[in-house]
Amino acid sequence: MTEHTDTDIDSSPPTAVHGATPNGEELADDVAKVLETRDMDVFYGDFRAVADVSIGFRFNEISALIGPSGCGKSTVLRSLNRMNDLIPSARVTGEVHYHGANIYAEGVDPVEVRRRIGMVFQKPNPFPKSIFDNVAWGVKINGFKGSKAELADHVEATLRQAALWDEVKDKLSDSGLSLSGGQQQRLCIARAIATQPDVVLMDEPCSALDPIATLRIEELMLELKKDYSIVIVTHNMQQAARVSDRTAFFNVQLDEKGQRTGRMIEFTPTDVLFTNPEQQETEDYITGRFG
Amino acid sequence: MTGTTPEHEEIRHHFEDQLDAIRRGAVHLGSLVLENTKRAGDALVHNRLDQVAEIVRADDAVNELYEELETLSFEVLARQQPVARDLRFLVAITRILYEIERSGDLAVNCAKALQRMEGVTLPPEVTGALERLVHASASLFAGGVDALADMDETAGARLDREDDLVDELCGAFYTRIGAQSEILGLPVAIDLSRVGRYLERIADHAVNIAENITYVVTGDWPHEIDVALEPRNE
Amino acid sequence: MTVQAPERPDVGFFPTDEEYVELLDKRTRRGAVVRTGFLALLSVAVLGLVILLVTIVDDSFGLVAVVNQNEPEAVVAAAGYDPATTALSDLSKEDLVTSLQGTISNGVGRRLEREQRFFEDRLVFESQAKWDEVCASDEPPSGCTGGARDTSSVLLLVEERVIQPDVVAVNGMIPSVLDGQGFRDRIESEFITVPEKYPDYTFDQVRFQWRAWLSWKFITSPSSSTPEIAGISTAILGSVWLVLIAVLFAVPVGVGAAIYLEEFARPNRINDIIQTNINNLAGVPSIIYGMLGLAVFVRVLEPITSGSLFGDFAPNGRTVMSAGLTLGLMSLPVVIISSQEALRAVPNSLRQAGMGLGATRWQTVRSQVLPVAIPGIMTGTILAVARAIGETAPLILVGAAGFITVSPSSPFSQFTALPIQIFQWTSLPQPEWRNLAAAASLVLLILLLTLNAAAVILRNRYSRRLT
Repeated sequence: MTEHTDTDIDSSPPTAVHGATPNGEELADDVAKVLETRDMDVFYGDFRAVADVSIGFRFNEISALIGPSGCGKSTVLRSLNRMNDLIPSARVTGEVHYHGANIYAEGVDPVEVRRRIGMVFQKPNPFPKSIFDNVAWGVKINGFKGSKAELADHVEATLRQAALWDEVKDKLSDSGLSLSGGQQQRLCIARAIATQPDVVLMDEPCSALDPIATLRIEELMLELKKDYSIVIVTHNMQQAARVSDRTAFFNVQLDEKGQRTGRMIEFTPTDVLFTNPEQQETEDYITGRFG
Repeated sequence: MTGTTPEHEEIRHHFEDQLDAIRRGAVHLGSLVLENTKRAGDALVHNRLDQVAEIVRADDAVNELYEELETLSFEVLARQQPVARDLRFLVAITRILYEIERSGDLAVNCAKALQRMEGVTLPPEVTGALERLVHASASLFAGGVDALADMDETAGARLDREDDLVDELCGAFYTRIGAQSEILGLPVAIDLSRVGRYLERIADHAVNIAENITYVVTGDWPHEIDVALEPRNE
Repeated sequence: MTVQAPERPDVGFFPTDEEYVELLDKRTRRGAVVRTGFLALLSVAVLGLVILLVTIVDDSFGLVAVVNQNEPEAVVAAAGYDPATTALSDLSKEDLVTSLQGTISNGVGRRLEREQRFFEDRLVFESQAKWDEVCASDEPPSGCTGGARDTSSVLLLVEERVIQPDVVAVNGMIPSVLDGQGFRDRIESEFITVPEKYPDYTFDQVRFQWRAWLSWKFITSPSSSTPEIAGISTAILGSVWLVLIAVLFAVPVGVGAAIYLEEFARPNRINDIIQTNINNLAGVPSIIYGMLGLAVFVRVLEPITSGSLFGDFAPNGRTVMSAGLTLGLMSLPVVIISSQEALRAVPNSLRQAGMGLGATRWQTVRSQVLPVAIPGIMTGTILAVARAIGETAPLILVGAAGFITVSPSSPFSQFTALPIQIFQWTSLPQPEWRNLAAAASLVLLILLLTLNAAAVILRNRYSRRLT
């Protein structure tokens, strides 16, 4: 038997753990939101895809939107930076506030909105250009004023931030399509953050990737949330559990006219949602008792 | 988690950090309980009634940290979908936390027994046996916390053997109480034998902690490994 | 072969193992029959194509029976050389010019000299005084300014004017190779049995020689009324001009229209109607485009298409310009539709990626969508142009000349084109014209194949660069 002293033992108190928010914290209305929808409805033609969505996304947090297929979570996401404008029949009512200003107000150019609120898509979709140009293009078209060297520095910094630099630094002039799926998606994330938005929307960013590549992207998101606010739509609720600080659960409901419409059921801190959700409907869904 | 080779690339840093925080928290909890156990033993041996309040208060901190760590483990279990070693760790750590917390309670029980024995001066034969038992028990518990700190899979079998010494010392302690029972009086003799029981239990908890560590690291329980090894030993 | 499967309870509706084997045989046989049928159909198509090619090639080469007004040997001998050792083509320019002088009339000689003089330092047919006078006139002939003829062009003149070959009978390539003597015997017997077929010659004058109707000379010579020396340089140049103008018109207009329709137009009634009409226009027969070209480009826009607005001149609107624009207009729907398809094939994710970065619609189209679509656009365009090259009907309506010997030199020139030339030659009575038409067809085919190959190569190179 050996003699023990307290110094033998690592007796430092547990450090604050990333991703964990204090238990039971309620969504306080007075906390400033970077992006907030107010009574938002989205229509495709006459069809109301989602109804009455009021949800506020906070600074430097990852918010996840989960729910069954057709619940309108992607529709909500695409309404947050007016990507839905690209669908001719899409129409948004209600308001979406970005730093307190309604992005659907008259006179707001969706181009500017998208430059502030970037987006990463389901399938990695790098441009068929060099890795360098993939990152640099968004910067250039948004009126980059610096020198060539400054642009190169910015591209490098962005690729480092996207945890891709070490893998691509020797082949910046190779096509972005020559990378693996996971690398392509990180390139797309780099491309999105190169224009320095403050919100990054991610539409099922890992659904086309293998588990390891998925974990890398998740890890990257956890790093990025220090500088950006992230909203992610995911089919994979385990992913929402792993990365998000808050999770919104959407579900399909029949409205007055018997139409299927997506609605937000609850938006709570992720640890609460996955251990003790407020709504029975949420619990049924996340435990797989979804009817 | 611990024990990954340097060339092996870790992807889930944040998850690793969480696991490490839980482990370090549990080690911290163990060291708090160890300290309190020693303090309780010391108070018993030297009849330091003034320590009782301090021991009870220290246990409040233990309970608080225990709850916090258990919630955290629960949350990580819910959110990170651990598998294999990580899963074993998280399942084992909830048991380990429980063992540590129980040990803390037993230390408090010792202090409360001292309170009940107020005014009684123990004969030196009894205090001597008690001191040896306290020392052996605390030492075993320290071994359990060490096993957790180092994720030492060999500690389980070792502590299991060392526990026999504690049982022996406990038996010796009971013998002394029996010999002195007339001088001590029945209530004190009962309280003292309870204290012996508490200290023996603390050592058992320490063995359980170490055995859980063996399970986390190897995936098997120490006695299973012993069984597997037996034919070779003969 | 049967596969040993574990016993399963009989549910009644599956065939027994024996029935199954029989059924499988039947299914396999049926598949084989159908496959053979499709192979037969393919063979029919391939056969048709092969027959077409063989016919054209067969007509383009072969033995001919020719009668020379003056035998080349006689010309060589007249120049003072031994015909046994010296060929006509070995003679010097001076000897050739002397031979010409001895054969052609002074009038013809003067005309030739005014076209292009024979020597830099002296005149052959013209007196110096008359030459100076002609050259000082308002419209001096081309000979006053251009350089002298070279030996090979004088040789051509000698062959045309002195030797004056007259092809009296032609034979295809395959029979010529297989049985050249048969052709000779046939002609010989024809001189006896049907002498009225060859009124001017006796069989002794006839020479048999191998002739490639498709030759470098054929490609580089202008058209002529004599089949023996007629070429298609005028027609090739005309076709090149037409294609150039058609492309310059159809590509910017068509690609632009396609980009608007695909990338910018919102789906509404008007755009739907436009789209439907474009699709329908692609199916309109080319002769209708010819009528349109005649009405609009030749008549209404005559000041522009005849060049009179720009100071250049043409007697009317029947110019390369009119025809080129007509062909361009005809290709336009195909260019639009194929460009639209190329744009539609660009994954939407690229557009979303571009727009998602805060690019405008045009920035996204220009930098991301167009580069990816260009191979497809080029392929479609080249195929449309290839179709335009082979087009005959609208050109006839717009007024392609059947016979001109002057190559077009500006958009406001009169012109002919390869298909027109072929069409015109096939309608002439002498059999040699058919051989010329076949040779011209071969040139047209090669031109089309080259364009198609270019389309494929361009597309491959572009798509390789992108991935």
